Amino acid sequence: MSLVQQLVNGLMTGGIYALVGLGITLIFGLTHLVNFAQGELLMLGAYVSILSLAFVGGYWVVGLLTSMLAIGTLGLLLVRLVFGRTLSIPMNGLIVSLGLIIIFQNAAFGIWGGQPMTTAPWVPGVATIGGLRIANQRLLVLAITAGLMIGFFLFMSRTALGKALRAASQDAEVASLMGVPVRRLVWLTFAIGSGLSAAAGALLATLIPITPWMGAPLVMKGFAVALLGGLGSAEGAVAGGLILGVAEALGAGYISSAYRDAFGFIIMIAVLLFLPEGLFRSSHKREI
Amino acid sequence: MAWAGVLPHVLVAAAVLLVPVAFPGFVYPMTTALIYATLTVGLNTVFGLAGELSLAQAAMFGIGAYSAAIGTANFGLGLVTTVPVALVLTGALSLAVGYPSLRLRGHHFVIVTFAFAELIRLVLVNSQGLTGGVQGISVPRAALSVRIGGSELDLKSEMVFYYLSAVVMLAGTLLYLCVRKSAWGDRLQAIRGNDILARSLGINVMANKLWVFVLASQYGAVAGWLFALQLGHIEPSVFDVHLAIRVPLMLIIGGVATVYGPLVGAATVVFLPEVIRLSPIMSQVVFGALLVVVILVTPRGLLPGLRLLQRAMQRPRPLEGLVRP
Repeated sequence: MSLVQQLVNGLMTGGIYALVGLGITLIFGLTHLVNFAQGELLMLGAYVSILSLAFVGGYWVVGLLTSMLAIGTLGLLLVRLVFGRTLSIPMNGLIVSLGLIIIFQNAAFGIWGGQPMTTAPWVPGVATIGGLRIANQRLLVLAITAGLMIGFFLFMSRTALGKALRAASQDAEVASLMGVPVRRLVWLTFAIGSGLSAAAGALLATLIPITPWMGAPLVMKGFAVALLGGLGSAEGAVAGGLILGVAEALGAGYISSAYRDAFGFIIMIAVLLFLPEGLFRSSHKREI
Repeated sequence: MAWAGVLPHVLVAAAVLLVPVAFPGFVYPMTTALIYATLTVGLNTVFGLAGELSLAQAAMFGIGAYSAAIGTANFGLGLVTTVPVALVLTGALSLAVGYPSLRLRGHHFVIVTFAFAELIRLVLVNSQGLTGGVQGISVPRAALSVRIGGSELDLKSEMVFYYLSAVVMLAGTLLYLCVRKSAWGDRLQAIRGNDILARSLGINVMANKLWVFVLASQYGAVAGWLFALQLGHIEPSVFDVHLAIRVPLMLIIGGVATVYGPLVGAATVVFLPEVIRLSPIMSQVVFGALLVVVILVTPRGLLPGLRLLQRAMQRPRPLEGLVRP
């Protein structure tokens, strides 16, 4: 595989990692909650996407949107029923998310079994661009992740709701004094973060077989991405995702493909050793 | 009277040691519970005392187990020799992992230990030649007869192995108690309360946390070593994220920062599915749900929660708040 092909693949998986990292960093930025179950939301998003297409059929947009809506709703339920009570002690929320991992993974295993599930690519065929052969599905994934991220940033910067979210994430107390409904924004953040992870899962399902246990390595990479970018920084998550994606693609191609997943860990350790605030220092006061 | 404080511990130790006599059918699962309890006491040192949640205990467990298996199967080492190997390996890795992550806020540490656990599993699966990859590796039966001094210890015997595990677990618990009561324990608990205040008092926060993390890894190594011997054959899939989560689950269900919380939690995890007759999947779901519920209702675990309940039920007495029990 040529260098350019590696890079394209890297950007594509990087886009997916960025989606996961975005969800993680958004939620952390507003609530200081480390949500390890983000990977399970991705996994459930993958299953819902495949199954909705199987039952309803039709255009792939249906599968993607159903997945994002369903898992977004699940995220909303989780924050209202469970995480809402742990907001004052984020460590408890972290532990709760561990319990959720067990519940979701085993529920998925019980319902769908452990056999890897695959789905047909949403657009078949291979494109030839400037002498390179790239699967159309991969180009589509790249386009969708780019579209989702652009949509997200437009939402954050152009809409009132987005601005309220940014304000709350910088300083929840002052924002609420200014009339920003912080509690509702927490719900919205969870819904958006879950929806983005679900999209990542739906996209991933077209590339690799999915299992109930796919969440753990992916959430680890999501955290590597969020840490690299700076916890709480959305731009950081995007940059981090792309960097990780490309690093993995090049590393797997030129160093070792078996240890592909290790690059995320290495990046994480390197970030903590040398740049603990991340690339884009988040605008958080350090709490005493 | 100093010995009154020792009495409950003596009773528990006696109960543990008498299990094979009273319930001979339960020796095997009880051994498993003892091994898990040892692993969880390790977490209790770093989480209960120092307040740092580590998800790396499962990885240390795996390394301990594979040290025993690889050492005996691939390198022909004596079983006893594999113990220091396991201890050194886990100790070195905990230093390497702890150093970058313990300097920072608590959640960074948890994230790194979570990633570390994943990484170890990855290494175990991919090092085909050394670890047998996905198929796993077995401890040779011959290695299970250990020569100590002039006599021979037959670890193939369930009873002998049970007593070995019991002694290890009780010794581990004793060590936890000693650390808790020592100056080191005081420093760790100060750090848990408020690390910045502790630093202002001259405590080297980083060093204290790092060394307790190393201590926790030693518990993991020993427990894993026992586990490999009990099971005979180990595979990477055992040391996955489920096990990593099961350790804090056992500790929290049993009671964080209590002496016997790890044992209670481990026994619950091992025996509850039998008692309630759940399928393996459902019992996992129940444990996950239990973890969520326990944290939401009694954030410090069941044993302390029960104590709070007990206190709430007592009539308030004068001077209640002034004299600590």
